[in-house]
This record gives sequence, structure tokens and C-alpha cells, in this order.
Amino acid sequence: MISVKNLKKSFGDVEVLKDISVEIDPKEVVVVIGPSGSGKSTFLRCLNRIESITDGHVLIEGVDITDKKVNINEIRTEVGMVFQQFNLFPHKTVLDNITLPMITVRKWKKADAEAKAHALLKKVGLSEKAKVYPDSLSGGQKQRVAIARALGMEPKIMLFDEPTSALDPEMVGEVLEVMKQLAKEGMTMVVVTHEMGFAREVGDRVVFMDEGYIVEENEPNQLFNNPQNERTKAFLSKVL
Amino acid sequence: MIDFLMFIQERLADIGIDFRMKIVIEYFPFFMQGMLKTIGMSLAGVLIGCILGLFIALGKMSPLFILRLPFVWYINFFRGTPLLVQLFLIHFAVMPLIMSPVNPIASVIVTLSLNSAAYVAEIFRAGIQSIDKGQAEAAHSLGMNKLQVMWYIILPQAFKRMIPPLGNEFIVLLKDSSLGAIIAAPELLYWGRAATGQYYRVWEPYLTVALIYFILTLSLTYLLNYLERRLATK
Amino acid sequence: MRKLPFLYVSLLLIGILALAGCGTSTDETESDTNGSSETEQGTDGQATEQADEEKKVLQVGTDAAFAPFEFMETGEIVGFDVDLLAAVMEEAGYDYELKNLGWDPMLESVRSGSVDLGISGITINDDRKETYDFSVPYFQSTHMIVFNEGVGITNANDLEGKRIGVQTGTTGADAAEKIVGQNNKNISKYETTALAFMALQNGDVEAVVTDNVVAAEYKKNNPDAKVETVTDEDNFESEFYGIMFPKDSEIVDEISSALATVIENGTYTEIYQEWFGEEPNLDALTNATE
Repeated sequence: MISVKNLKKSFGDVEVLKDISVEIDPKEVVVVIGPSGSGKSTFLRCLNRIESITDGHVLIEGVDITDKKVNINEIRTEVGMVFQQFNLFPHKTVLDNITLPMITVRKWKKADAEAKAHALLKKVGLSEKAKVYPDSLSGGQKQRVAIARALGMEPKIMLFDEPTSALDPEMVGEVLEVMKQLAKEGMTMVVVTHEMGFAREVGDRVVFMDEGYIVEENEPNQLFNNPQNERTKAFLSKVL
Repeated sequence: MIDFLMFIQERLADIGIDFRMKIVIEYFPFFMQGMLKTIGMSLAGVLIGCILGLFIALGKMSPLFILRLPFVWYINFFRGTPLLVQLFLIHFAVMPLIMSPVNPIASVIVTLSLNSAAYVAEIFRAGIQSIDKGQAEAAHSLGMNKLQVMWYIILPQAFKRMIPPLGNEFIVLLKDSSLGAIIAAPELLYWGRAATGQYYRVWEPYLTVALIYFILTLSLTYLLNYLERRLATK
Repeated sequence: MRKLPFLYVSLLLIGILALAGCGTSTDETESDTNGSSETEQGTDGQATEQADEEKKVLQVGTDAAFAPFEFMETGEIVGFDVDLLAAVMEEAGYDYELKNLGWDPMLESVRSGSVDLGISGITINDDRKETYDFSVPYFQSTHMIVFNEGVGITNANDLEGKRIGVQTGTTGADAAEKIVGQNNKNISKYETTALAFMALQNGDVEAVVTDNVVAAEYKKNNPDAKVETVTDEDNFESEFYGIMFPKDSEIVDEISSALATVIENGTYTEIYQEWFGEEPNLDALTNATE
């Protein structure tokens, strides 16, 4: 589903991703963990080319998105993304946040888009918030709307960039709950997170990154209980 | 109205101020015509300036240096030379290529448009760049192209922030349109000068003209405050 | 309710006028700062001896931007008016200071009395007499119509329906308005005569009406300009320049009769010839005085 080959990314002289290769299968939930500055967010942002790619290849369903001829906007409709800071559009109501891309990108009729949006809001438990502006929502509610917005495009892959890091602790649960539900429905997901509980419970595979490399990857139980690499051990001893 | 003005004139005479309402009354119709032209010219100037300014702002934000260059220098030129000089250049050098005879009002509108475009471009650029990068990223991640991101996401948010500086620009333009008097564009100050020319008196014409400009800019200020409040609640 | 904005406006007007009133009392200092380019032109020794000690130094305002009547030459105000003023002051026995104030400030300074008189190619007319006193006329202004070749103007009445350029507040403007009507929309009043001529060159206006001396100066400096000129003493009413005083000034008669003497005793003719290279029409001045 996603095939990353020798991905490299530099910001100026600083090489953030040094040589990343990984395969992600359909319906797989991959959790990316690692210390801050390890490059895990940058890695995720390269998967839909929100971050430009310096070298290497990223294939989404066999299409190489580093190819200049590829219509990246088309690919992005297949790859949903949820951000740490939610990035809801403050000048649009919750409903319009969700329907805007459906109408402008997918060219759906407004009525169809709204029906779909209402269904999604129901799914994330926010039906009654359709007409309000994002400002009046709590952090957890905002993130659930953001997930609904991404799902509106009917993506085949969902990318989560530390979706609970900006939330008050009591709101983390409601967001993880929605993500768990998605995983259960068979969505292919790549999740960058510090929530080790979530990684253990929902992840099919955990990838540990450090200093721009994938240091170790394994099933959650194996990786958490029996880490092979010294750096993995050091990291886990701090966070667990 | 006239009775009232004469009453004021008499009270002023009582305290030793010689003020001829007659001049104000005689030129009042001209001041009104001039005021309409002043409003029209500034309004046209700011509207055309906004459209041009948007393109210049986008051009100046181009990642390509060579593409950016002409826009940068356009802004440098129009911000770095006196408006009066620009008016002369446009009225006497540029407009004759387009129309003959040159209508001075057209010259003023073109000058105000080109000049305000430079200032508006900077207002647009500042407004656009003040919007959080995450907004564009989120929109792009949903598959929107650059134009859609700009039109649906960035500009509506930026516009709200641009209203106060744009309003300022409009007020500046309204006052600057008075330079048109020099090339005989029959706007508000032109008629003030004409009245001074006829009577060789400066207070009556210029105070009246100043008062009309003041009422215009004051109304505009309140209108803008109202607009800002309306948009803030949304 | 409907009266409220009006009341508001009136209050504002009164407020501003009050400020204006304060302004007049500080005019003294204002004119000092305005006079940065002021040129002191004391009369020569002989005049000073004759001067009555009680006579104060007269302040004279001008706008030195109207060649050949008054203009700046290497930092000094020179011109026909300047020489005439010197002769008149000598005749009247006054010391004086000539200050270059600029047009509008000069008008206001004379009106408020912060200068004692103004000389600046000022045209006498009835509207202005309401506010100022004038000396006897000292110059007859003949108007010239300057137009592009082929427009075909033979006399002043041909101006009707043509787009006319003038300098605002000049005799040319007055004369043209007397033909086609005051503030007629075909008249464009430019800030300077140079701008009016430029508009003529560009075809924005079809004719410029101005003093013949100014027109002659323009033709001399722009030999390539394809313009024709015509004067029309029958249809243009005569306009006269005078020295301008505050209303009810005490020195009007004194200066005016000194001016009359200068005109009669030949000094005026000398100065006139020096600047314009021809004989003045003294009869016209005398007739206008009566």
C-alpha cells in the first residue's frame, strides 16, 4: 500500500531523514515512536508530500509521488491527514469544514456532501455541533472534527501526526477511541504518537525511529517487551 | 440653511472674525459636485488598487526570484516616489498614449489605482503571511490545489485582518485625491482653489473644503469600525 | 432627529472657526517663518534721510513665481513689480521689507493685516474689493489666446464651446469666464500657467487664455510648439493690476498717490520699458482710474 525506498530529507544542511525504507500493507496500523527530533513527524509528512522529498521514493498504491508528473492533489485525496494542532478552518462552521473539500475537490453536490458530513459527525459523536464555529469547541472535539474532515474524502490511508499531543489529558481518550474504531474498520493507518498504550493495543507494528533512521521495528509486544537495540531500550526505559 | 449660515456669520463678526458665508453658499453646489468626484475617484482607485494589489502581492510572494523582481520594483517605485510626481508622469506622459484629450479625472483614477496597488499589495502580503501555515497544510492535505487553498482558506481569513489597514489606505487615498486639483480635475479642492481665485480669500473656501473632507473621512472611519465589529462576531 | 447631524456639523464649523480666529492673532510669527526666502530690500540712503522717523517699516508680501512681474533670480526677488515698488516707496518715503510668502499665504497675510500691502500682479475686481482695498491701477493686462495651429480662433468669442485652460485666480481666468460664463465646465483651472500650457500641448485643452506677456514668454521659450496667438481688445474686458491693502488700511491713499506720481513723472515708463521693451499705454491706466 505504501512503499518507502531510501527516503532522505534535508532542511538546508541538516539531514533529518537519512535513509528510510519501509513497506506498509493494506489495513495495517503502523505506530511510529521515537524521541523528539528523531524525524518521525517529517517522515509522516513526506508520505503525502506536504514536506518536499529530497531523495528516494515514496509509492502510494504503486504510484511514485516523487515523480513530478504525478498530480499530487489527486493522491492526497486518498491519503487523509490529522495534525497535532487540528488546523480546522476557523472561518467555516464545523459542517462547512467537512463539506468544503468534498465540494471543491471531489465536486460533490452540496446536499450529498452535507448528508455525508452529518453521518461522519455522528460517527465521531458530534452531531449537535454541525452549525458551530471551531472556536467554541474543546480540543478533543476539534480533533474529532478534523478526523471527520479527513474521512470525508474517503481516503484509503490515514496519517496521524501526534493527534493527542496538544490535548488536555482528559480529552485524549475520546480521540483515541475514534482512532481505535477506525482501525477496527480496517483503515490503513500510520500514527506518530507518544501514547504507548495505544501503540500496544491498536498497532499491528511499531516502528522506532532515532536520528533520522528506523532503528527497530516489530510487533508491539515484541518491541515493548523485548527490544533488541540499545537505543530502543534506552528510549523505552524513559517513556514506559 | 442659508439663514443659519448668515446667523453664524453675524455671531462670528461679533467676536471679530470676518467670515463671508456668501462664498460658501455660492460655491456650495460646486463643492458638492467636487465631493462626488472625490468619492468616485477614491473608490475607483481603491477598488482597482485592490485587484491589482492582490496580483502584485501574489507575484511578490513567488518562490522564483526572477518572477518576484518586477513586482518588488513596482512596489519600490510607487512607494518611493511622491504621488504628485506620479500624477504628473501619468497625466502628461502615459495617459496621452491611451486617450486624447486626456481626462484629468481618468489620470487621477489611474494614478491612485497604481499607487494604492503598491500599498495594498503589501497589506495583502502581510495579511496572507499572517495566516498560520497549518491552514494551508491542512487544505493541501485534503487535496486542494494552490488556487483553492488561496481562495477558500487563506484569503477569507487574511481579508478580515486586512480591513483596518485597507480602510486606512482608503482614507489616505481620499485625501490624496486632492492632488488632482493641480491638473484641473474638478474635485473638491479644485473648487476650493477656484473660490479662492475669485475672491482672493483663503479661509472660507479651504475651511469648507476641509470640513467636507473631514466629514467624509470621519464617516468612513465609523463605517469601517462597524464593518470590523460585524466581521469580528462572525 | 433630522436636525442632529446638521447641528453637529455646525458645532464643528464653529470649532474650526474658533481655531482660525486664534490663527489670526499668531499671524505675525507665521509670516516670519514663511519668510524664509525673504529678501530685505531697504531703500537707498537718500530715501532713508527723507523718511519721517515716525513712519514704520512697511511689510510687503508677494508670490515670486510670476515672471516677469516677480520671480526669484539667484535667491533674490526681481521683476517689474519689484522695481515699481522700490520707486513708489521712495516717492512715499517709506522703508519696507519685501517677503516672498507664496500666493495663498500672501492673500491671507494682507487680509489679516500681518503685512501692510501685497504686490504680485494682483488683478483688481469687484469680488475682491469686498475684502481688500486697492491702489490705482498700475498695469493693463492684455489677454492673449494661445491655441494649437489649425484650431482656428480669430477672436475671443470663438472660445465659446472650446475647452479652455487657465491658471486659477489669474486675469486670464477672469477674462475667459467673462466670455463663456463663470465656472463653465469647459474651463479647466490649472495650478500654474505652465501646467495649462502643457495641457495645451497634449491636446487636453484647445486654448489657453493668459496675459500677453506670459504668452510671449512661452512662445519665446518654446519655439517648436506649434501654437498661434490672438489678442482681442474688443471682446475681452480690460483687467488691471493694483497694489492690494487690507480693507480700510490707512496707507492706501498715501501709497496710491505716490504710485500715481511715479506713473506721471516718467519713472514708471522707464521701468516699463526696461522690462517689456515698449511704451506703456498710460491713457488706459488714467481712464481706468476714473
